[in-house]
Amino acid sequence: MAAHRYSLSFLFVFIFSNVPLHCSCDTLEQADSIVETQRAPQSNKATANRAEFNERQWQASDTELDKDETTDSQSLRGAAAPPVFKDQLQEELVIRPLPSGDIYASFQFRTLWDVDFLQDGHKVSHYRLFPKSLGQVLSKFSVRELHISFTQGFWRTMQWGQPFIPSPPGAELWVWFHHTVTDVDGNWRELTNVLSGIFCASLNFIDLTNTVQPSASFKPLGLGNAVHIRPVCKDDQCTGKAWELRQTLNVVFDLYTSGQGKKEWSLFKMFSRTLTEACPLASSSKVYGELFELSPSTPLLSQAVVLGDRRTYSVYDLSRSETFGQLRSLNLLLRWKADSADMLRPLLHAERYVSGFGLQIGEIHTVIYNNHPYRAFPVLLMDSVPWYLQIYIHTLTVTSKNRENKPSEFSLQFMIVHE
Amino acid sequence: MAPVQLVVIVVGIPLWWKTTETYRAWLPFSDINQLDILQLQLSVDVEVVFSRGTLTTEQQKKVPHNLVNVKEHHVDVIYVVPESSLLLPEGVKVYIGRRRTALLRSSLVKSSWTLNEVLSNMNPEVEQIVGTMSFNHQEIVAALSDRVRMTKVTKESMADSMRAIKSSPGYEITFSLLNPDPKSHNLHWDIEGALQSYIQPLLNKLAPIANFSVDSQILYYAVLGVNPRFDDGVSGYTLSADSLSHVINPVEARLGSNAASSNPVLNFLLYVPDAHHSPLFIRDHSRREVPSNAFHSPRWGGIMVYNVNAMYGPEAERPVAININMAKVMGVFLAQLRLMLGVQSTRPPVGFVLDSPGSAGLADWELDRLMWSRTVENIATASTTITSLAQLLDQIGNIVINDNIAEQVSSAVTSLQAAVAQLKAGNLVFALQYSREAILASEKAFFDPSLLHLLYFPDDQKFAIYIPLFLPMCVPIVLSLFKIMSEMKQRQVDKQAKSD
Repeated sequence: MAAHRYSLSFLFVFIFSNVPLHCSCDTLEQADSIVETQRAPQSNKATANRAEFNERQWQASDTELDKDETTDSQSLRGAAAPPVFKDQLQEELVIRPLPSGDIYASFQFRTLWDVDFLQDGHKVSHYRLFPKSLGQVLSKFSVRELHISFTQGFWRTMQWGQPFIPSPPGAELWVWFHHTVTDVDGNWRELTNVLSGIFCASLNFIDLTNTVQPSASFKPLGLGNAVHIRPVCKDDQCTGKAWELRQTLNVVFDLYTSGQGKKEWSLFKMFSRTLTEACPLASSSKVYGELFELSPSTPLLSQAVVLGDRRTYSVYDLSRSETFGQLRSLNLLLRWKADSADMLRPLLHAERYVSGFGLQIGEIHTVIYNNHPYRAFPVLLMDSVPWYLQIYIHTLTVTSKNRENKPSEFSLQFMIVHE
Repeated sequence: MAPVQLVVIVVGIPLWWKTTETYRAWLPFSDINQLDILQLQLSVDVEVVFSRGTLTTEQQKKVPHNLVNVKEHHVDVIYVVPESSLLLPEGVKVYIGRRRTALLRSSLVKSSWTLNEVLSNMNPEVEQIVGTMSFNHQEIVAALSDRVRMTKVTKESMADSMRAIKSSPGYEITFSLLNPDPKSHNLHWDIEGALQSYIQPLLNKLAPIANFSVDSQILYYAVLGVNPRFDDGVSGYTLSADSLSHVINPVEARLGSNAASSNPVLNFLLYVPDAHHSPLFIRDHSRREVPSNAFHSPRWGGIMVYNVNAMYGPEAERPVAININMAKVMGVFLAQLRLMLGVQSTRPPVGFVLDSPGSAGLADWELDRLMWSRTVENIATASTTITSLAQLLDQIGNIVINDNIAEQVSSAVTSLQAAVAQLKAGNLVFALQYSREAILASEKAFFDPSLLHLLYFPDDQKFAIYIPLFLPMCVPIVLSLFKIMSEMKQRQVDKQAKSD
């Protein structure tokens, strides 16, 4: 039974304060290939030197130092009281059917670390779950929040609904700098170059010609903002700041073989392996399935409000050994429930098309749809036009319901064309 | 004369020449040429103190009575003790202390000798002591190995110089704990405390040489690149010395270097083998077990294997919580760090006894030796950079030399000259400082991107640009110049004809 994998949406979204996590647990698909840390430049030099220095490159270290310093070692040995760690990892997988018959699997790894990178005088040097390469980048460039996403393929919003985290095809990078940063342009340029080295992506081609600094539309999703996602507070009372790294991987599978009876999927068919255990480093590890007939069934259900809709999920908690049953492995079978066809129709949806050609009759149309039954929404549109597309600002017209409309606020920002 | 030609020749040509010139600021080429023939003179102050019983009264009178005063620069003090003295154990001739002092057992002194004869008799031993405590010819030549043909360098000093990392204004030191099996082992290491008590004192002492930045991380599911083989003899797994080169490769990609700085990195890895491959031992080339279970790679760092299988029984609940004994680990890493940074593993001559390095892990005279070789290396590197840059700029007339580059070059040259002068005078600390400044300035000037602006502008292109502009304009001008000249000649001829 051929299982085609939709190479469509491989969405990598690193939401900063997200740190790429190296927990390549054997159980789930190897997430290692995602992050490729920068190769240390010393490696070339070291190998050259090793080649020159023919004999005995690898030398056993003889320690001749006094052992008087070992007297205070006894306190560390023996039965250890469990140390209190300031960082923790949570992993979850959400599987959801899409109205067109495809399956949407979304992995999310969250690392929470109770530390402050931007505090002066206290340099963060000791890393455990949080990757060192990203932590050092954060402190050097005084980054308050960073989102980076790599997408291959195109998310069909009209057919699939709204994804959990929307991102455009290609690579996208949003950064909020701390208010102490004076030279934002210089910082941005250095940061893109460093990140392109870490992720082996050509982010260094993001320069001033295709960067915008939004003044009104984008707001940080982090601490203190009540509009979006959960704020990153240290605890319930929000006594201090903590850093959250969120790595997500979204995949859409096209496993539906038409005419073969019921649509059914299993973890083994999707990922060619089953779950045998949770990641030992994770404090919580869960699989959520939605709108399916799932087997083995689980008594745990959870409800969550996602994008304005209340949805019910079946939860499999991997940290409990009962989940794995007698075979010590969990292979979820998912069967499509024929009647549950309620799609997450997106409330707001935008399209863009080009009509005409040339400088005189060429036009670019951006259409925004509001699918809500009765509510009206204020919309803020930020458009980034490249320098080679010479548009005439005076020809901008906004129409709604075939009537001319004027935007309540309109601002332009000209960026440098060439350096 | 026709005004057009006048304007063109008098105003036009100089104006065009001036405006199309590449801007080249002045460089001190003569000083740089002098740097090419670098002659270093190193001097160190030694103070020899004769204790009671080593000299006869007559000889004593000749000795100048100076109090030992601590001057700004480093002085090695040698105390000469009588032959029968019990300060030094039997058979030991010299004892070198922690802080630039040494005890020398005096050989037989004839009472008929003058003071000069006594001193010249002691000369070889004093030279040996000073050679151990500050520098000797072999080490300096090895430090200059970049510039100097390595003809007469011993294998040992070559090995030492190749093991130590190149001189740099700053270093990053990273300690990584590799846990390939988090299912079985839940490791905990108090790296912060250990770094504070073991590594930081050494780095504080080395502060005049370079800036150090230390950090640590834990890598999970990091496997070594080699499968160790089971050895029945020790009922454990062994890694042979030949396979050690392949061990590091898969790990290195995940170590990451500090993206935020361009300093060289020294990596120290602590590997805890997984439960199925425990215990793991390292064998050296002669198949013997290495007691510290660690090895290091020149100019890269070190790795130590820490076996934990003895700490729990088979019935323990997985994952087992394990506290790593940081004292043992730090002892090994400290020794490796000393080697990496270039603190020579001295093989002292026969009859010498060296004091232990003390709580900081580094004796004062070891620091001196490091500073000497570092200073010399810096001076050699900086002068090489500057002279090659000057040669390049001289040869290629197209390169733009901005003011800031000229400033950097001048400051590098003055720092180099100051460093050489300080070395001659024996002021080690100042010499090192100047040499560091020289290196920074010379590297900055050499790698400045503004040097490349007009580099690839070939002459053909210039002609291709100028000819369509100037040729049509020049044709009538040149023709009219000819006409003027022929007119003048005609007038001359007429004048001649008239005067005849």
